[in-house]
Amino acid sequence: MSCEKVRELPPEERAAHEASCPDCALGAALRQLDESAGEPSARVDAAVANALLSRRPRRAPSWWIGGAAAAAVVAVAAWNGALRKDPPQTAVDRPAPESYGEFYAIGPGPVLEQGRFAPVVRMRLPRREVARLGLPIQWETQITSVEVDVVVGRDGTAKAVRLVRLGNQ
Amino acid sequence: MQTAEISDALLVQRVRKGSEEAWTALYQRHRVAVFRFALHMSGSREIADEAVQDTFITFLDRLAEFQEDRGAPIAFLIGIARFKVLRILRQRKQTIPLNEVPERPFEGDALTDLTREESRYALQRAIAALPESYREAVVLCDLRELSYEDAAKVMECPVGTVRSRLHRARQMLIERMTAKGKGCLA
Ligand SMILES: [Zn+2]
Repeated sequence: MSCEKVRELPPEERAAHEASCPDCALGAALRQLDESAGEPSARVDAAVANALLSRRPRRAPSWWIGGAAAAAVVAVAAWNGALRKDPPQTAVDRPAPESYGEFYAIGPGPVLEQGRFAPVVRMRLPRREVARLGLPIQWETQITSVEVDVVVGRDGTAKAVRLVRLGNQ
Repeated sequence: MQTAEISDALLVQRVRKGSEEAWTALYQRHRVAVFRFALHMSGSREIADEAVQDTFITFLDRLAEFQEDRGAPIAFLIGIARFKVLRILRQRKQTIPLNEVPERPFEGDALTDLTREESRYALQRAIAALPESYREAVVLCDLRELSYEDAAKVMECPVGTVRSRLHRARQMLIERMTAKGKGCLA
């Protein structure tokens, strides 16, 4: 039996060959290990998704962001509690059309490391959650949810948040 | 045409023109391969995540350098990821962080029983223990299944060197993972 054809064999015959051939057993073991190795985190997906936008100024973002990323950031934003009114210490690497509000920092400490790329996740938050975070939403009393951009730090937690489409409301 | 049917080369052309859809498709197509390469090389999910992010962002910055006729985008991406991982590992002044691969007692023949969790740990540890140049040969050729030619481009060495490193790496893994330790390389 040629080892090169082993992967085409039915499972029982393949297993019998692998039991007596360390090379094919190793190949199968490596493939199994690889399949169990997982994939990048939602934070990384969000950062890469935003990378192209950050190189195209004055274009409204329209990236689909993974639900897990959004959920994680919402949970962190809610958990982090009250906002400080300080702006981020480092400019966010993303265009800011006039229809955006200012970024508000969440929690203590610097928002971003100097010179680092910052992923921004677009999501919709319930109005009461936005109010609880201290963002100025008195101008939209009729609506139940608000679109926001959340800056995600390298540790995957929310660092700052801003309202979207202020000018359209 | 669905993006799933579009070649990498065409996706890269569209990304050059600023297509978000092409960028998403290219990322979705290769994110797992780049992540797993970095994970197997570093033994750390944290480093693998950092490498994926840096690799794709660097790829955007270096799109002008990428030539479709001189190799697959995945080889170009993994070449960038290799540079990132090796730089991070050297910055941290350690061969490989094994804090995510806890030491466990291991008995038996791991190769024929990889469904056992401790067997996977043992194989991870055996890969981690390989010298760096052997480790990347086995990760590129056996785990990522790159051609010898693409692996040679990534490793910046002749194809013959890839073959000999891979041969030696497999022997070392088999010796470590089996009681018998006798290879029958095809
Ligand atoms: Zn065989």
